[in-house]
Amino acid sequence: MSGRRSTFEIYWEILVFCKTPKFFTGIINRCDLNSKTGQEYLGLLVGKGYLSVIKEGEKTTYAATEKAAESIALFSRLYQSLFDEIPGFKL
Amino acid sequence: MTTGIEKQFGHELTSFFVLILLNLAFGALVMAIGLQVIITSVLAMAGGQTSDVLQVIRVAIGMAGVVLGSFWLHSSAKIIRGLKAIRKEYKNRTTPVSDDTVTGWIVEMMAHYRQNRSTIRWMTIICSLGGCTYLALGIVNIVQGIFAIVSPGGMVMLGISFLAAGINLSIGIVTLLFSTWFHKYSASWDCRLAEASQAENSLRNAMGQG
Repeated sequence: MSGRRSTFEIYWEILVFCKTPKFFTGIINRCDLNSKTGQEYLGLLVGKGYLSVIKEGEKTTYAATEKAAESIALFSRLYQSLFDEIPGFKL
Repeated sequence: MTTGIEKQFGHELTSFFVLILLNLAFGALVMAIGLQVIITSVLAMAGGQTSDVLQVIRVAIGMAGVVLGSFWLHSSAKIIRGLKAIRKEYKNRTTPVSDDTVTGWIVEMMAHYRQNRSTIRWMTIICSLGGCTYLALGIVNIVQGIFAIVSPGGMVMLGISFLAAGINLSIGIVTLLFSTWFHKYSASWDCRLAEASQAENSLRNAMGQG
């Protein structure tokens, strides 16, 4: 997904993608981030307890925590209400 | 709830896609007609038919049509590029669609709108200008037809002029209609963007970011 996204939209994308453990490269590719911003976003989400870091030997993966599930649900509810409450465009 | 939103999303996506496709076709048509107006006017000037002032006005309007048409095509192509990817995802969906998938589409459309907001606003202006240009061309055609009545073979010229006026006035009206639709689309998404930024405040509080 590309285009102009807000910070919270990027958080949401990362957390949804990491519902199953994912590698750093996979996350930045999927979420269309560069390495530097990817590190920043992941650092923040790990720091806040939304992502956990799983280390298996030399491999490091990231997985969304239970705390993340609540935020994902809140984000979905808020964004879906934009379609539910605001009259849409029709020809 | 998701099924209703999924359907609404689909309707909106299709409506906007059709609007852009029609717009693309009209952009091409406007450009072609603009060129045709320039060529016929220049030929008429060379042949010494009708008043030179009227032909110069027609050349100027035709040139405006060509310039507007090229902007029109370029802008429509830019908008359609991002929209095709979202549409492809929507068409290839497997039912039942998950909450995350629907939210993902909304996020994509939001990002697409943010990226193309200024282009869509330009389209509204271009369509208004284009519509007015073609209405003006239609009026010029009618005036030409009226002037042609007194000349030999005037009735044939009158018929041709009124036919051209009909085409130009129709394009003008449809184009002004496009402008209204773009305005409606923008109004709807501007409202959503405003609501989304309020929603982000709730998320900021929930995520403990200050």
